[in-house]
Amino acid sequence: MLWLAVLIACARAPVAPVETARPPVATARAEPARTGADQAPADGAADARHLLERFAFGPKPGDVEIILAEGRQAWFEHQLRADELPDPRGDRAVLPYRRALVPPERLPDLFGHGGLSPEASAEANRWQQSREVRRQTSTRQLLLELQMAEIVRHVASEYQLREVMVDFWTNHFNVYAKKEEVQLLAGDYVQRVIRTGALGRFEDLLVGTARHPAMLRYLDNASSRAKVKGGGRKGRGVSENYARELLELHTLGVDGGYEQSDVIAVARILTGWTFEPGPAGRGYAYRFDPRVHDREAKTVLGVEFAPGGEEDEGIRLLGLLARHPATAEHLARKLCVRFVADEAPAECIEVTSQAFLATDGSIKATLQALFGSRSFWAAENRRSKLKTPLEFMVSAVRGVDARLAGTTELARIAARLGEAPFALASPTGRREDTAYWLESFTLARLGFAHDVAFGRVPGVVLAEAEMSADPAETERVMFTLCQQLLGGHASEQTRLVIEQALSADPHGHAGFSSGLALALSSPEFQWR
Amino acid sequence: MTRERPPSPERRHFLRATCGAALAWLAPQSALASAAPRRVLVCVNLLGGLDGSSLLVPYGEDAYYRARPHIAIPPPGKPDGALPLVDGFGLHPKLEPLYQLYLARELAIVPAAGGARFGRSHFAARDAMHSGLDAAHGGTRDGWANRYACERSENDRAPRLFSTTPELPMALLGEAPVEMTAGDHDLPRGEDDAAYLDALERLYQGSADPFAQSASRALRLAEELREKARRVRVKQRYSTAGRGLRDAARLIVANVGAEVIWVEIGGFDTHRAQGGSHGQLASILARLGQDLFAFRQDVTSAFADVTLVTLTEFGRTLAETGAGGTDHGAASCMLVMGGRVRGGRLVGSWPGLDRASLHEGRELAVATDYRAVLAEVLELHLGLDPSARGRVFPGFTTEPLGLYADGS
Repeated sequence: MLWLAVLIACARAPVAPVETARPPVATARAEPARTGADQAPADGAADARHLLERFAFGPKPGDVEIILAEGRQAWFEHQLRADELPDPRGDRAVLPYRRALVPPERLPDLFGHGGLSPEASAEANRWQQSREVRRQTSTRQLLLELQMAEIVRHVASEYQLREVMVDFWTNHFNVYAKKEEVQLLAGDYVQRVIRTGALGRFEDLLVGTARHPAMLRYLDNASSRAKVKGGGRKGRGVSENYARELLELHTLGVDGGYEQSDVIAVARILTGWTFEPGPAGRGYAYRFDPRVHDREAKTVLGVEFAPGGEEDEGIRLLGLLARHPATAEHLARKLCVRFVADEAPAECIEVTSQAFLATDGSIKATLQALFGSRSFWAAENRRSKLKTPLEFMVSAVRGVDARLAGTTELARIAARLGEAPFALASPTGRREDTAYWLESFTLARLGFAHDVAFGRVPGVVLAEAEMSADPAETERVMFTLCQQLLGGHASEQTRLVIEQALSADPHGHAGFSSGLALALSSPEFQWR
Repeated sequence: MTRERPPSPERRHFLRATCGAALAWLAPQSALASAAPRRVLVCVNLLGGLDGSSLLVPYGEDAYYRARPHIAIPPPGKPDGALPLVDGFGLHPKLEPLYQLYLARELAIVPAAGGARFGRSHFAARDAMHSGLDAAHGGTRDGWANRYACERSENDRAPRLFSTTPELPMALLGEAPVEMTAGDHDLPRGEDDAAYLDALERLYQGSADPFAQSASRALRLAEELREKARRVRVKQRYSTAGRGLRDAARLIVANVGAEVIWVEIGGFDTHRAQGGSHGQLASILARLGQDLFAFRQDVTSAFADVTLVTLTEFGRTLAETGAGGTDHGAASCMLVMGGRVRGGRLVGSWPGLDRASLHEGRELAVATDYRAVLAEVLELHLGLDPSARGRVFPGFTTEPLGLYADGS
């Protein structure tokens, strides 16, 4: 009822102040000089919507009006201060799933000895087998809870910019939950490393991910050991897996000017970065193991690492990579693709990478530069990106302002839609290009739009009043659907089809549900 | 219906001027129902980088056993030994079903196949392989299978490209429409299905929006397959990983006029605990063998019109790692099976595993470019004019491999 009421009110008086739980914004309300938006000065609501579709998971009812009241710059600056401010809505939303966020050193409290699945021996009796089944069921449940914790915080958090950046970094530093014990570790990985660092310094993120047991396991660095001359111990050797992805994906980029010899040197520098493997009640915690560290000299990108180095040379290496111009360029390009256009405009890359380099990798400053770029506001880049499945799902739940009731259904649906958190085995993270998503998982989107509108997604509850919308209100319901969900972009065809659905069932819920489902299925709702 | 649309900012990223002509999806049901059987290429993409030396075991090479003290497959005759193919080469012992196809001369194996300049990044190597280039170019372009479809389009109609994956494989990306078979269970279901589906169709019908066009195509395909599924049954059992092969078999038996069908099977990125005759990779290969055999049984007589090719982004290092796995390498191997394939033999050449022959001293070098296999299938099986090869695989020239018996 709230969103409908609010929107009808908004429709009448678009700039009316809207009741909100949001803490007051201390920064100046006066809008600073616009850097990039000068070519489209008139339409504040369209600008606000553009911001919410790029630096948030789409607008909730009332969000556009908040930005109109505060000003775009003030909203953005407020969002950047997420780490200093409480996020009660986000915290409340993840409560049902907090088990999945337990720090790794406390895992033994939850799961007892050994963490995951000791193989059920062939001789195990029936009772033991059933216990094993229960254990596996519970870890499957844990994965769903882990995914839900991410999804519902994306939906509910006041700090949408941070959530969008959490999603960005989670893909940038991808881990795969189904690899061994990673699913026990991924919740903490995101909460303590990614979310804490999402708006901080890039180097901290890099070191934090490099040392987290989730990453150490996912890309095998935990089991990478120096080759000892004449040692010949079984099962010892250097793994290049993390080193390669560190250079190719996390820092320099595939064209960043490194060679296979650099990959090997990086792998050798990081030998010994591992973690305590869990048993004996100790949980999982990063540690440097000097016994398996390669102490000989190495050279990376022409930089010498003298013999005898230990953990410190790894830290030095990560600092070197974090400050490398190729890293700035690679990250700037990715950010511009994510927030501006699939073919990242040169201007955007330029200003963004400059800010990154000039501030020693400050993510805030980098985002400010992107926000101020001409390309970000340019008309030709607006609504040019298809929402990815996660963006689609989260924006739909936000758009209808549904109440979430603690189930794990959205995680299952995210998997069907093709973008469940932590479900990508490949370290590249999700694809960002529209051409790809256009042909992928299309029917699953339509299925979700239908189910959520008809109240068939357990745990996603639409407000009562909409479900029995008065048929006499058809015109206003239409306006609400088209304005709130489609931002006034609805085509004549879309309007007509929705209107027909509303009027086909003038006395029941089905008309409204169909209209809402069609609005969420419409081509206009798929773009951001 | 044509794909003529007014230009809009939303479709700039989608349009690619590769076909030269706007293409329509071949829609009429009646035409499909009566279509003559047509030749089809099934591409099975093995994700992660298949260790070719575990599938096609080079048991004649001492270097293989020296480099892999724990994960090498023993030679034929030893316990858990390879299944003998030709002197020095055997098949993984868990691939008994493929061995039968090999002995029946329906399966050929191309050793040391891949892309010589793919590099060792999954991303870059897949990019190159899907693009049909010798090295990654960065960013999204069209894929070789789509360019093939454009070459073969007539009267503004392209051959039907299908993918059984829920997501679009880049090899199929381009101007010719792609049909995604996964997900018809996602169609809305409920008391008022028909009216709602009808409204959905009207929501997208004739729209210039690229999403509307994709959705429209997906809805029509789902209905068509639902209709056909009533008449078509596949009999064999497939593993969960092999569902794409089952869907491919269905499309072929239903004779919907598919010309290229894309299937993906994951799990080949074996950095740790790869195992040898038993273990992780052995289980994955065993399922692959059973699923390929099931596919062959299901397509029955249509097998004469089928060529199935496996692809993978790269092979793996010769030496095992400390973690009992293998790292990213260069060449892998390719399976080519079909009724017209001259099977029961290895095709191509073997560069050897002595240090001097290895790529950068660490992995099997590429002896046969993956495009040599694909080009021959496109030309000799599907009938692509050889003069168009340079447009499907730009800059690529090759000698014939002799995959087919009659050379036509």
